[in-house]
Amino acid sequence: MVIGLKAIHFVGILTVVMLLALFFYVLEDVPAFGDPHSPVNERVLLFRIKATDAIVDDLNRGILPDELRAEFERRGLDIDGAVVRRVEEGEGKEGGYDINVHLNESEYNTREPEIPCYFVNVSEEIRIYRYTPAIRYKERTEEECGVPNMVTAVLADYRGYDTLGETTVIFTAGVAVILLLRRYGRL
Amino acid sequence: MSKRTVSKKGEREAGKKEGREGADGEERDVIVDTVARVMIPLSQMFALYVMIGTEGAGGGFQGGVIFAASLILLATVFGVKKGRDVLPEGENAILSSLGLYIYAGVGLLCMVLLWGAAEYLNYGAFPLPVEYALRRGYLVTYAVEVGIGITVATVFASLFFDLAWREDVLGRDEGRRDL
Repeated sequence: MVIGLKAIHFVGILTVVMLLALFFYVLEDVPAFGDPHSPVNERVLLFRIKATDAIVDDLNRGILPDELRAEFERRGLDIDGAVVRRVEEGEGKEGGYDINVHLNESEYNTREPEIPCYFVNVSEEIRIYRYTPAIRYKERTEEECGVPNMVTAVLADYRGYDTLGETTVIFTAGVAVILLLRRYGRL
Repeated sequence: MSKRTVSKKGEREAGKKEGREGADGEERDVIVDTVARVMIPLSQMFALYVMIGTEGAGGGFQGGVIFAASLILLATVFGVKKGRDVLPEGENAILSSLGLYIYAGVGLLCMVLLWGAAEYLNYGAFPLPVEYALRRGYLVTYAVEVGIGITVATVFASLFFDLAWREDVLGRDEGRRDL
């Protein structure tokens, strides 16, 4: 051999290639926004009521039914200026109705005038879900993740991929300093 | 002139006899010596508490940095050579990658142990004999945070040890030439 390759070098190359193959196999399985069955990627069930024809008619016409409005107000949720929009059933998501709420806090508000806050699913009964993840972090951390500290749960569980990347960044910085500055036994 | 800069032979011998000898053979100050001996174990215990105790603020990153600070205090007081004896270069490299292996390995084990039924990093599917939420909690607390802590502590200690060397003993070029 011209460059002096030994058997241990081939073992090393084989290990790297096998790890690379394993990485690509895992990559197939990694969903775009993390684990789809993680609690944060599912909607929170707020309440359920019995389905009647009047309610479904109102939802189809884009009006918030009075029964639903009463339920929202009984729970202290702000529902002023709500608009109902139909969501078609697509691949991997169920059909239903989005309830969009106007946010008129200030005239300098540059966000979209209405954002989807609640989701209505009609089957034998009507289920009303809530969208926003920040509320989920605050209210449901302990019962979903078993960790009393909200920050730990968000860091390591809900945003697990992010933290894995951060740890890799720190490890890479350490390896770079070792390669450049380590003096191998000389102090 | 302080006691530390004087290097009379008799005082040096006395320091050696009590085990208070610095990196260059001089006697260390009693106060520095005593405070370091008390503070290093305490700060290491506090680092473990911050790392694993999820009741309060903190986590793997903060706990790892506190642990690295205790190692840096050890190296500043007892000398870099003594610090390297506590954490040798080889063990340092192994540990800094071991933490990352623990984190990524738990995620991979969730897939492997269920034969591909669960996703990568799906802690709730890990076969532990407790309920769903506690499974997530135990893995986050005792595997993920500890893995982050090991990596951060050893990487920061290694940064200090690689940057702390004496120019006047070896010289900048002499040290680099025969690498």
